[in-house]
Amino acid sequence: MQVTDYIENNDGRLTLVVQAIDRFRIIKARQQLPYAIAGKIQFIPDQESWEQHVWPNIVERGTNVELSESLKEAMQAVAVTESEFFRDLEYLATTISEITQNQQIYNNIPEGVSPLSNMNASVLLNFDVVENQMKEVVLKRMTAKAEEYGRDEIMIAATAIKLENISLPIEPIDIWVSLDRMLTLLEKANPNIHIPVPTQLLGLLPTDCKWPRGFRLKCYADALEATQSGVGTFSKSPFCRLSRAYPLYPPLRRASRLSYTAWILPNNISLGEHGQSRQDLLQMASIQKRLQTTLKYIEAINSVIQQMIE
Amino acid sequence: MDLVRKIQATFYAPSSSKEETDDGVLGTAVAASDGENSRWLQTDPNDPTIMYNVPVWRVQWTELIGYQNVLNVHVPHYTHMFRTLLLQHPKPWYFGHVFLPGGSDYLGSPDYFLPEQEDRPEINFRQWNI
Repeated sequence: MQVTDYIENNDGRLTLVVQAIDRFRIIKARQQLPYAIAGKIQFIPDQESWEQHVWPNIVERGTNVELSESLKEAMQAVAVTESEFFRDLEYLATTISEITQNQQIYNNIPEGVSPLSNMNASVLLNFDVVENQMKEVVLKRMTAKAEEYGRDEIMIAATAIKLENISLPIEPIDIWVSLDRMLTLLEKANPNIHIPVPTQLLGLLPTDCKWPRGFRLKCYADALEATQSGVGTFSKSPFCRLSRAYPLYPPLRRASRLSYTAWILPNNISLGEHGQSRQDLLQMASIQKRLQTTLKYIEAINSVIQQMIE
Repeated sequence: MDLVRKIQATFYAPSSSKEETDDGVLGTAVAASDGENSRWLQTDPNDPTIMYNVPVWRVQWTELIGYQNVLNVHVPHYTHMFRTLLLQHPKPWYFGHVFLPGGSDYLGSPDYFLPEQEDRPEINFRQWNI
């Protein structure tokens, strides 16, 4: 996680605004008490985020290259580097003053912050530069340990790193349609309530899809885009329609973000023993698996609500 | 309050050497036994997937990637940890958020200690974090 801002209170407490940005595994402890320090950690990129750079190239070349562990590690390094390049774009830093402007403050503790981080529509990111930097990372690593790699592997690495190579493992449109249906069903079950849809979620909605008739999420996103208003419950920040702000933004990265943020709506609805914990979701290293799990869960909720209505 | 802030500023002033870090002053930390520098959040120039000396906030809930939160830090060991991070280290201020069943009550339980030996352990619920 990262701390984006903080205040020191007069009674010794600290108030921090924090954002969850990446997954990691603790390799070794340095200290256990009074608080833990991990002596060494390893970032764990999504499986598809590093495989994508290798497989299209292998298929294209028609070779029977068996990937070595070294090449896999090199590609994971590329995926982690890619995440670092996109961090400022993907995480608009929320400040204490932003969140205290629009809410009650009790005992110097702000009431809260929008639970989802917003994207930053004003980052100037040259995607060609990102691609070149990623190539440098992998070639530097492979050159330093040249004896571990085969000639084919070095050829693959030299040509593989292309952001446009990125393709989706599954189509996340189904998730959007299921979320939209969930909203419809919830309002049908209780016409007196209005279900707010987080704007950070709406910002991920693609602009180039053919949506079914009556699909409301697109209307919501279009309206927010048209009014250009500040969004957020506790803090106000500009609405970022990702596809419009960054037309070259990799669809796989968007799918990964959706696989977590989509849980903002069903997370508060318990399905008892069939419920999915956040920790279960975090442990899934595959975007495809998370999307499938998300879809299954939303559909299960929809089915329960449908039965209630009937 | 000004006096307290001045004392804090001195206590948490960024140090230039390993020996002068807060860990040494307090004597509560286990020194890095393998010669690694004790400064936090060090990256590995040859491997971007690796980071050294990451402070860890262990609590009974999980955060998902893309989510954000306001933390009200009031227990002494964590206010010390975050002050060390914020006042002695430059941005970006990273820390680990690790799920610990039962939260702080189990911080001292050896059953939930972080792995002491370096290896690539099998994945389990305590080792996936953000």
